[in-house]
Amino acid sequence: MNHDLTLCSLRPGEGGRVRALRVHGSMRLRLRELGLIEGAYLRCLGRSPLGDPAAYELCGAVLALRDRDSREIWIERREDGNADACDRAGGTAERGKEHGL
Amino acid sequence: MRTHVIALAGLPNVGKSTVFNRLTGLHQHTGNWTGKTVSSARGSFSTARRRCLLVDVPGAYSLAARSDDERVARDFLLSDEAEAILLVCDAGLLERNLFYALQVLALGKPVLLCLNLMDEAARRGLTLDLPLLSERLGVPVVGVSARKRGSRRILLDAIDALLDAPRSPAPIPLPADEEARTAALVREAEAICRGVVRGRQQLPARDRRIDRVLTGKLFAFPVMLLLLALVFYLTIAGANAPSAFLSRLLFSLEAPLAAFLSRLGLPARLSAMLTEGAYRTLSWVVSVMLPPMAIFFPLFTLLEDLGYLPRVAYNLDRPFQRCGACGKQCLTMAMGFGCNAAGVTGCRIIDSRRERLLAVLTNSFVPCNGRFPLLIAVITMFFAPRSTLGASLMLTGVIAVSVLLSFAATALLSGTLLRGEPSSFVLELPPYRRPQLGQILVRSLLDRTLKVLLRAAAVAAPAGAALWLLANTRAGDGSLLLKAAALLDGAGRFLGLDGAILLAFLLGLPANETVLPILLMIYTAGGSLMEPGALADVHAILLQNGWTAGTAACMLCFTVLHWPCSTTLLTVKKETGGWGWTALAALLPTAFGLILCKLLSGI
Repeated sequence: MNHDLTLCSLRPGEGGRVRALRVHGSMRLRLRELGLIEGAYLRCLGRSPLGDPAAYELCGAVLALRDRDSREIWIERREDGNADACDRAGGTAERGKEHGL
Repeated sequence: MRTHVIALAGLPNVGKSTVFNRLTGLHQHTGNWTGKTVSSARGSFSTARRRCLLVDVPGAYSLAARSDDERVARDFLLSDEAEAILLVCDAGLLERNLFYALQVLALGKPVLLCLNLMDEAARRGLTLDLPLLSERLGVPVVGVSARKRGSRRILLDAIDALLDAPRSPAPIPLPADEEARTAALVREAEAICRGVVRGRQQLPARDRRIDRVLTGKLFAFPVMLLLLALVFYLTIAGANAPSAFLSRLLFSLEAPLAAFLSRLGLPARLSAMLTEGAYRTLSWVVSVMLPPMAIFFPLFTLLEDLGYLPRVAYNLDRPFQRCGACGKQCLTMAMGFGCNAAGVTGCRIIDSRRERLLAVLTNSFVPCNGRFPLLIAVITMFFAPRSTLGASLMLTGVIAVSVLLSFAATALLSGTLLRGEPSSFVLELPPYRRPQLGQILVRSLLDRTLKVLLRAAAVAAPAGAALWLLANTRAGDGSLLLKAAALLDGAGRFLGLDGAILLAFLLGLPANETVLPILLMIYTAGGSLMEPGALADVHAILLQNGWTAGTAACMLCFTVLHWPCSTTLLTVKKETGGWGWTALAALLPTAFGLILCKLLSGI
């Protein structure tokens, strides 16, 4: 039961697993270096008082992302992961899968 | 005995500077990497058998060299100069840190892996098998809490052991393609951590709770405003007595100095220029500038070390985004309250060049410590003579307006000269950590305060001499100074001010602290800066020279919106590399000031 959702749509407390990163260039590389890769588990911790950016927990650390960027990260909403440790289901994606997107 | 050069590397927020300070103590200094604007800290220390030089490499998330920081880091780590690498990692976030660590190990130099923040990891319920980690990585591993003094001995012994038998880790084959390389590193980091890190990580619940308050809808802004007001209050109130004391002390040395100079046989005019001109101006600037800065910068550094400042950038990012700028600009603006030159230097934290320029060019819209006394004096004299609370509220109002205008200027630039897409923005909100008070005092006093002060002193003394010459050179029936003020009078009155005020601002280019004294000097046709006197006397002089509430209002406006001081302009030149940008930095606030003053004078 895959719901095609973006990271942006997670409400505080909700978590999900990354399915695809439709970000490009240096932002893409930066996010991947921080552990935001296919299969990684994130949890939304809350939104900035003015609504944007939002804070996400990933790999035990807290990252703030702007909506314009989190809108490009596709996830599957799940509640069965840990954002407080590096939790990656099924290992990392192969190259082919990434380029197909 | 030769000095061993060791590079200190690691991700941001791993306590690298704590390790640096633990090892080098006060034997350190900060500078720049040659040719770059990235700052570098170097310090020396001694182990049982060796002398070492520790070079702090900028913290980066990877060695991919996409930003100046990363390039500088990688270049130095690869260089022949770096004999060995002391790599600091956060024990509680091992997998993420290993991603960077593996890249460092791949460089082929001898590495000592220092797992810092072991106490935090323990509190999170984690245990680490260090020998197993060492075996898997092929490098020696030590675990410390750099906050604790005992960590020094552990590190020194480990460094000695490394330098006794330096071994480079075996290279891990990595694909060349960046995406595949990232994936491979992530997989490798994961594999190494399995079994090394044990225990279920307990969420740092306290941090989350604090963040829910400090970044929540209800309290985020009130807390920020309150903290800002508190910092201002402590700075202004706390600086009063020390400033008065310093000024009495320095002024009392003027007569002995004059006596000394005349004993040397200097002509009276030259001696007067040096004492009444150069020295007096210098004393004024130092006594007005030093105490507030010595309070403001430590307070700012305290908030920085606590981990609160990224939360501020997080809270305020949205309006900055709307203006095409970066949330971190609010931090540079906050620094600008202390000193605009320091604020401009602080813009290095902004990665994108376009956004950095936006922050640099609009930094002077925010009044610095040097302008506060002037603002407070004018407000107290003309708008709230009997109420300190009223004066504080009005000051806050003026500052709020200056912040709004700063946004307007940012939006303007971002829509015209500095058009572009908002850059990739990922802000890490680090865990709250207990700040190291001793280190804060040293770092902020030596680094920020002293440096700014020395720069100001270097400008103030010659400027004071020049000022004295202007005031004591006869030109017709008055001094050059008075003649200049008369010339500017037309322009001044057009703006709701007068010639003397404009001249005072122009001559106050070296230091904003001198604007009011110069103004009084012109009004009283004096030959040198007056001794600081009572506010009531100042009020009388201003009224005698035609000041009204309207003049005061325009004065407030122009104080906030005029060209930056020379130190700031030079810093802008250094940071942007171009005179064009520097000229714009001078013109932009001035243009705003001229327009607004004209509007105000019409009311």
